[in-house]
Amino acid sequence: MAKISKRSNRSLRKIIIIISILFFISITINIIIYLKTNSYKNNYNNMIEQLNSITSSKEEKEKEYQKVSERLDLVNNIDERTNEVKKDFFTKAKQLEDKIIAGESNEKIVYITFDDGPYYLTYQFLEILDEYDVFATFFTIGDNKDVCYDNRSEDCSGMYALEASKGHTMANHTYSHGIWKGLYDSPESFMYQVKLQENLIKDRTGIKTNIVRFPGGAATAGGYKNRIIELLRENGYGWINWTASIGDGGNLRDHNVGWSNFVNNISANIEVLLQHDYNRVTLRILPDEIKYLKEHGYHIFPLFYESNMVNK
Amino acid sequence: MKYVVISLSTLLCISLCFLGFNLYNFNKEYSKAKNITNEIDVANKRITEINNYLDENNNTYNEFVEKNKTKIEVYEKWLRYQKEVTEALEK
Repeated sequence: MAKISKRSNRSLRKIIIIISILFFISITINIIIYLKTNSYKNNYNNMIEQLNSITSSKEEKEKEYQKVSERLDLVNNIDERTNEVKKDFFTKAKQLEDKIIAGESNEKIVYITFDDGPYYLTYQFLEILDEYDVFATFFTIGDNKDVCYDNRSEDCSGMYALEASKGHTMANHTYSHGIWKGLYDSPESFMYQVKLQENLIKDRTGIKTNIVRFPGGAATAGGYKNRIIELLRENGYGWINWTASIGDGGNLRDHNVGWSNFVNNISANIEVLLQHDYNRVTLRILPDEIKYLKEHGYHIFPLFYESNMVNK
Repeated sequence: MKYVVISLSTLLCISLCFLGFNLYNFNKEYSKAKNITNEIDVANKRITEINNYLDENNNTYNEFVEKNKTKIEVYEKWLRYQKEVTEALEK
């Protein structure tokens, strides 16, 4: 009996030792885990701060990324983007014209046009248009234009590309402008000169013209006018005269006369202003014209094929 | 002897319960910390990517702008025209 009791005590003692060891191991693990958990808890705020700061700098970088990628997208597709904006502008400008013509809008539009160029003086016209942030329309000719008429030591051949690159409307005034040199001998001779000028402009700028102004005005074509208009239409062209002129087509030298012609001619809600980029009087009064037009509520637009002012 | 064993067993049980509880808490905090660390890593990685992109493309952009200044000016001018005609239409 005593032997059994002694063995049982020994077993109990062993169990006690095992349980004690397990208990101490458990306590030790508890303490380690508790300390580790606390260290995570204490670090938590620091980590959150770090995360917030990284997140905010990431957001800034994302904005920068967005800006640069948008810019890159723009510069990589600048021609497409420009054409999209132009197309939208033309649609809206046509709608605005429609409203003005229907008497539903009091807005006013003027199309500033220059005939017969390019000339050496055209550089200065372009500078003024740039300065006043205005697009105009150039009805160019081509005969002998590689030498500037008004400065024979200079080459004007690059002027077409310069006008086009600055966003102005490139329009067709026939290659020769030869009113007295066979231009109006027949509808075909007129179209031949239109095509020559079309090819020249296409070659220099990549742009196919689609607006024609008859040298001397449509009436100069006399009995051929209707047939020429038919041919123009068949070739995808519209044509336009003018509604206002400053009379600089000849030898205008007095800027007071030019200015008074301008002021007296501008009155309608939609005006097509005829001028010439070889005339120094025109060059001199151009800044005042632009200011006058803006002060009188005119939107100065470049011409476009869909315009109501372009006859089709 | 018996009571000592019972007491020690009880203490062990309590200790094991605490261990479970502590492990649960540890796991919770560890997961949180791990998530934050992951988020920080992802953000840092993205920042590095963007920095590389900016380094590569800022030069491309600047070169393009330098070469195509007029085109960009004309585009901006058309945007102003678009705005002008849109506002005029809305009047």
